[in-house]
Amino acid sequence: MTFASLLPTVCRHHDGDAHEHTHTHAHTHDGVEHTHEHTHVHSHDGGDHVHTHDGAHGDHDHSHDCTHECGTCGGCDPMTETVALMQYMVNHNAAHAHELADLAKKLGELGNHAASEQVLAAVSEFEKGNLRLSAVLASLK
Amino acid sequence: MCLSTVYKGDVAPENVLMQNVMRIECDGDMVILTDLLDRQVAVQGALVMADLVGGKAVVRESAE
Repeated sequence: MTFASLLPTVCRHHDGDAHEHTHTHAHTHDGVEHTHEHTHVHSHDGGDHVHTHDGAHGDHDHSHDCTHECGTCGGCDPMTETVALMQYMVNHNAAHAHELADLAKKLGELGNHAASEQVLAAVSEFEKGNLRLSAVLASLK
Repeated sequence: MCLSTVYKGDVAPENVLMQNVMRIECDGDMVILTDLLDRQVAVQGALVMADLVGGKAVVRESAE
């Protein structure tokens, strides 16, 4: 009976002190895979990070060794995560701007030209805002 | 297209499994969540609901 699935598990709220936290793992018992939570104590340098676990267990009493792979996922750095989220938002906003432009076109085809123009004006403002976000993003990289 | 927060059991702050989830895969009885930074959490259970406008999803874990 061993750990079968070693998908990395993200642990949060680390402040550098030894502490206790809970993980959910997939295990295989005699060919049947399942997950369950367990709690253990450890310490590290701080920040979110990824663990892999290895070891053997019987029933639900078990012990295992942890190898901390801080720095391998980029998730340990709040700035990296913030920049990734910001990049996503800028791209997301651009996609929404395109969708709104399509809506404006549809309104025009339906004969409501005033509404179409208003939506296009809103898209223009939206794109200006997104351009400002892009500039901030560039400064963060 | 929006990122979601995935909860275990009920939508409550203490039940957050993962934030900024960009992909949810259901493979057999496993639900695999992937966030914006490609980190993954695998849970044995089922996807109960996905609110794509509200950016929320709920996973129910299988009984041990």
